[in-house]
Amino acid sequence: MPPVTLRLLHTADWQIGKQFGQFEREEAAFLADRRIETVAALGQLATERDADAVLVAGDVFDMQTVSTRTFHRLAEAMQTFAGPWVLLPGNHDAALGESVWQQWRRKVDLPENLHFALEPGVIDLPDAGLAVLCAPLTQRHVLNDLTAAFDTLETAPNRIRVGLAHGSVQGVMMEAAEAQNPIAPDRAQAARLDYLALGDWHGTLRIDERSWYSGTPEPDRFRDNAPGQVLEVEIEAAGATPRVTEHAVGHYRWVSRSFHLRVPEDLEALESAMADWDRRTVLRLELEGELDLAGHQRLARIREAIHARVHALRVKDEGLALLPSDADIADLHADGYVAEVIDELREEQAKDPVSREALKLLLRRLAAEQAEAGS
Amino acid sequence: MRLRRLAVSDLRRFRETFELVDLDPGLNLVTGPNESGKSTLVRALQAAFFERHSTTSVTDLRPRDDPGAMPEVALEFEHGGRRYRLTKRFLKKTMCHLEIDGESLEGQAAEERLRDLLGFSFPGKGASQPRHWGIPGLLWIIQGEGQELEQPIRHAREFLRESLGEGFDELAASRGDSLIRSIGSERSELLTKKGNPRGDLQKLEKELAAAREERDGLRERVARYCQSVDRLEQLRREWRRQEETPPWEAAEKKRDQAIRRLDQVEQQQKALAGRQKELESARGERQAIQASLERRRQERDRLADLERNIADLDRCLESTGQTVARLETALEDTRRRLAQAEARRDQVQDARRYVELEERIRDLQTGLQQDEKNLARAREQQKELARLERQLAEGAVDPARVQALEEAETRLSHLRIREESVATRIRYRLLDDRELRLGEETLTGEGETTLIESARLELPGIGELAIEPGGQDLASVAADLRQVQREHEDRLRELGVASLAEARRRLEERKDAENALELARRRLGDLAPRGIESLAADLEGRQSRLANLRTERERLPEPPKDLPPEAEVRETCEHLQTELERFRSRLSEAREERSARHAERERAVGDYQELQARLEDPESRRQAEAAESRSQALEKGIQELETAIREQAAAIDAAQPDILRQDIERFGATAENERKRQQERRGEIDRLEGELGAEGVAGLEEDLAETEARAERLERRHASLDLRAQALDRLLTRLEARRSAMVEQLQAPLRRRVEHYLRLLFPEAELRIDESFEPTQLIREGTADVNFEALSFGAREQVGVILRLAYADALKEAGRPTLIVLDDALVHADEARRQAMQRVLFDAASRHQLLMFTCHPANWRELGVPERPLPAVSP
Repeated sequence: MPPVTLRLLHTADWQIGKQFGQFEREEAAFLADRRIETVAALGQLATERDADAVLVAGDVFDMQTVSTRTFHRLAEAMQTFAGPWVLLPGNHDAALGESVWQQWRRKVDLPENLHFALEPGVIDLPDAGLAVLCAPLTQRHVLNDLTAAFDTLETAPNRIRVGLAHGSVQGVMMEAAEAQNPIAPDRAQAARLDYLALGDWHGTLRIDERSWYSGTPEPDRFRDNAPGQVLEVEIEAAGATPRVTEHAVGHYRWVSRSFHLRVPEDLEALESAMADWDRRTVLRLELEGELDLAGHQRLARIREAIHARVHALRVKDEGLALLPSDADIADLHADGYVAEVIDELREEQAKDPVSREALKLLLRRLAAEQAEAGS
Repeated sequence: MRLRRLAVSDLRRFRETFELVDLDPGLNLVTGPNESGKSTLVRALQAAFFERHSTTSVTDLRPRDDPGAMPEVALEFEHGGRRYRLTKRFLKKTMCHLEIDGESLEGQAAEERLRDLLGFSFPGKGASQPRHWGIPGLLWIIQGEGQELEQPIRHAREFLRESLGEGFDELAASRGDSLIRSIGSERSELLTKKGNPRGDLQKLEKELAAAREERDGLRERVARYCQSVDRLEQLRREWRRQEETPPWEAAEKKRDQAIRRLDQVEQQQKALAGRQKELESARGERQAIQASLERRRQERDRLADLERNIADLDRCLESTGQTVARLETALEDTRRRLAQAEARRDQVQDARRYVELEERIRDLQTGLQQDEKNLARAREQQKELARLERQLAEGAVDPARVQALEEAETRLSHLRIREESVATRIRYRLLDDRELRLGEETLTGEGETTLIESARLELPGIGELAIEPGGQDLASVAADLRQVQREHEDRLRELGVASLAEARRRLEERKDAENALELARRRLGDLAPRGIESLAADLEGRQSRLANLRTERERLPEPPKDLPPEAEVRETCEHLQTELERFRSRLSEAREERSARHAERERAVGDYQELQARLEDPESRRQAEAAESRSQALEKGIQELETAIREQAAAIDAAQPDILRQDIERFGATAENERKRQQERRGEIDRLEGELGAEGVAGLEEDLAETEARAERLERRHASLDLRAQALDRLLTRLEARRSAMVEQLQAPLRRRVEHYLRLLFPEAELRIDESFEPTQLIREGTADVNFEALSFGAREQVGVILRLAYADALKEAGRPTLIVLDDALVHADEARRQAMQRVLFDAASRHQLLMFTCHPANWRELGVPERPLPAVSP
C-alpha cells in the first residue's frame, strides 16, 4: 500500500566538478569539495525526513567528463539516503550518445536506488506510489519544449504524477537564456501533474503552487536569489495541493557588497559590516570613491581583517582613488620635484590604472621612509 | 675678500719676520726660485685659517732644528666692507687674536668666526686635513695639485650648497634621491634595464604561458571529444536506419531484373544476325548478275558509237582534201608575185646607186681643184722660209754681247762723272789776245777745263805753273777710266759696230727676222701639216679614186624616170615572202591531218567488225536472257528480308541492351557500396565507443576546468605584478626626468661661468659637468669627446683652474669671500695655453684677488703686474 502522504526532496543544479578560478587555489578547492559534501547533507536530510524519493532536476554534473575520483566521491555522498534518487540529465550533463552518465556507470558500481532518467518517459516507483515523468535533455540545447510529452504520457493508476524537467519556464525569468530548453508555464496543469520539479535556475523560485525551481543546494555565484536550499514536497494524494518547505543546506554564503568610501564614517560602515561575515562567507567587495593617505592606510588594515575573517575575498577597487591631502604631502616632506610627480600622477589616476598604482607605490614608499626616519 | 698684508715670523725658513704688504686687489705675482719660501707662505695662509692655534701637530711650521720656535702668522684683509686683523701663534705661547673693525675675538671664538666666514671645518683632533678645507681648499691650488678636482669639490660640496643658495638646498633636502634609489631597486626586481620582465614577473609570465598552453591543449581535446560524441550519435542513428530497411537489398533486386531482361534481348540479337547474313549473300549475287548485264549493254552502245565515228571520219577526210588543193593553188600564185616584186626592187636599187656615184664624182672633182691650189701655195711658202733662214744666219748678233757693251758704257759714263767731280777745275777768262798753255792744250778766251793729272800751265811771259790736282782718288779714277775705255772698245770690235746704238739697231733687226721666220713656218704648217710630200700623195690618191668611180658609173644603165620609192618596193617583197612561208606550213599541216584521219578510220572499221561479231554470237544471247530472269527473283527475296530485319532491330533497340548492362553494373555497385558503408559505420561506431570509454578521457573536462581556474589565477597575479612593474617603471622615469630637469636648472649659473672661461681657453669647446659639479667630459669640435680623467695632465690642470674660477664667480655672486691662490700652478701649460690662461687669470682678477706664486716669472710676465720677488735664500 502507498503511504498516506508522499514526501519528496526536490533539488537540482549540483554542478559537480565545477572549479572556481576567481579565487585562490585553496579557497577554490574548498568550494569545489563542498558541493559533494552538501549532497551528503542533503541525503542526510532526506533520511531524517523519511523522504520517499529525492528528485534531482538536472545539471548533477557541471561537465560531461569528470574524474573517476569525483564519481566515487559523489556515489559515496549519496549513500546517506537509501531511498530512490531520480537523476535527470540537464544541459551540462545531457544524455548524449556517450555521456557522463554512462561513464559513471562504467567506473563505479552504482547501487540500485539510483535511477537515471536518460530517456524521455516515466520512471515508475510503485513502492512510493509515485510516477516520475522525465524530460531529460538528450542534446545540450533544444529549442522545443520537452515537457510537452508529459501531456500524453500515461502513468499507472493511483500514482502521484510528478514531472521532472530542466530548462527555462517561459515568461518568468525574462532572460536571454529563455530561448533555450523552454518549458511552458502551465505545464503542470496541462499534463495533470501533481508537482513539477524544475532545475536550471540556481535560486529557489516558485512558479505556481505546483511548479518550483529548487535552486542549487550549494551556492556557486554572487547572486542574491535564495540559493543553498532544498525543497521538501509533501503531497497527500493525487490532485492535492503540494506543501512545499524550504530547507537551507548550503554551507557557503556568497556575498557581494559595494561601498563608496570618502570620509572616515564610510570606513567605519565597512568595518561594522564585517559583523555579518564569517568563515563561510565568500565575499566580493566593490570599493569606489576617494581616500586620503590616512584613509588608505586604514582601509588596508580593514581589508586585512576582512580577509582573515571570510573564506574567500575578491576586491574590485579600480574605482577607488588615492587623494593625498596637502597635509599628507607636507607630512611626507614630499617637496620639490617629488611633489610635482605626485601632482602629475594624481591628475592621471582616474584615467590610467598604471598612474594610480604608481601613486600608491610612491606614497607608500614615502610613508615608509618617513616612518623609518621617525623611529 | 681682499688680503692686504701677510706676515710670517719664526716659520720654516722665515726665521725673521717676512711680510707681503700692499697687496693688489687683483693679481699678485710672487716670484722666487725653488726653496725660496713660496709654498711656505701658502702653508702659512692655510695654517692661519685651518689650524687651531692650540694644535700641537703643526711642527712642520717650525724652522729646522729649532724646537723652541714660535711660528706666527699675521694677516690683514677686508671683506664685506669690514677690516679683519688676525694674528696666530703656534706651538709655543700659542694665541689667536682677531679684530674686526674694533671688535676683538680671541682663541676658539676667533677661529670659528673665520671658519664661518670662509666655509671650512676644523678637525676634531690633530692637524687639519684637505677634507676639512672646504671652499678655500677648492680655491687655493697647492703646488702640483691643480688637476685634482674630485676631492676638493667633494670636500667643499657641503659649504658650496650652503653658500650657493636655495637651489642646492632644495635638491639636497628633497626626498628624491633616496626615493629614486629605492624605487629603482624595486623596479629592477621585476624589470631589466631595458624594461623586459625578470625575477618574479618573468617567472610568472612563463608559468602563465605554460598554463595557457596547457589550457588551450585541453580545450582542443575537449572539443575533439565533443565532436566524437556527436559523431557517434549520428553514426548510430544512421546504422539503425540502414539496418531497418537495408538499401543494398533493393539494389540487388533491381540488378537481377535487369539481368533477365538482357538475356531475352541477346536471343533476339542472334536471330537478327542470321537474317542479316542471308540478306548480304542475296545482295552479292544480285550485284554480280547486274554487272554482267551492264557489260553487255555497254558493248552495244560502243558498237553504235563506232558506226557514228566512221561516218564522221569520212566527212572529215573529204573536207581535208579540199583544203589541201586550195592551199596548193594559193602557194603557186604567191610564188609568182614574189618573183615580179624582186625584179622591180633590183631596178630601184640600181637607180639609187647611179645617183650616188654622180654626187661623189662631183665632190671629188671640187676637192681636187682646192688641193692643187694648196700644194702650189705650200711650195711658195717653203721657198720664203729658206730665204729667211739664210738672212738670219747672216746678220747674227749675240744679245749677251750687246748686254756686256751696255754695261761697259754705263760704267764708263759713271767713271767720267766721277772724274769730273774730283778733277781740278780751271776756269779762265783771258784777254782776247792772250793765250795760255796748259800741258799740250792752249787755252784762250773764256772757258773751263779740268785737270786730272799734273799739268803745266805756261804763263807766257811769266813762266809756268805746275798744277797738281788734289786727292788720291783722281789717279785711281783715271786708271779705272782707262781700263774701262779699253774694255768698251773691245766690245765694240767684237760686235763689229761703231757704237752701242748701232749694236742695238742690229739686235732689233734680228728679232724682226726671227718673227717673220716663225710666221712663215706657221703658214706652211697650216697648208701642209704632214709635209708637202704627204700633201702631194693625198692628191694622187684622190685622182685615182675619181677614176674608179667614173668607171663604175659607166657600167650602170641610165635610170628611168618615175620609179616608186625603194622602201615600198622592199616591203612588198618581204610581205610576199612571209605569205609564201605561211602557205607552205599550212599546206604541210593539212596534208598531215589528212593522213592521220585516214589511219584513224582504218582502226575504227577494224574495231567495229570485231565487236559486231561478238554480239551476234547465239550462246552469248542465251546467257543474257537467263541472267535477266534470275535478277528479278533475287530482287523480290531481298525486299522481304529487309522488312523482317528492320522490325526485329527496332524491337532490340527499344529494349536498350547497353543501358541494361549499365543498370546491372550500377545496381550491383550500389548494393556493394551500401553494404560496405554499413560495415564502415559499424567499424567507426566500435572505434568511437572504444575511444570514448577509454581511460584517457576520464575527467578531461574536470582537468580543463581546473586548468582554466589555474590560468585565471595566474592571469590575475600577473596583471597585478605587471601593473606594479609598469607603475614602478613610470615612477622611476618621471622622478628621474624631473630630477635631471632640476639639476640642469640649478647648475645653470655655474655652467655659464664655466663657459665664460672655457671660451678663452678652448674656443668652441664644451665641458660636461655632472650633477655633483664634477667635470666629466670635454667636448671639442673636430676631436672625439674625452673623459676628463683621460685628458693630459696639463689640460686637466687648466680645466681645473677654470672650474675653480667659475666657482669663485658663483661664490662671489652669493656674497662669499673669494681669495684665489695658485702655487706654481699651470707649469705644464705650453706657450699657447699659457697665453690663454693669462687672459683667463687676468679676467678673473677683475673680480677676485689672486695670489700667484711662481718660480718661472718669465712665464707670467704678460700678466701685466709687477713681480714681488722673495728674498734670496740666506745661507
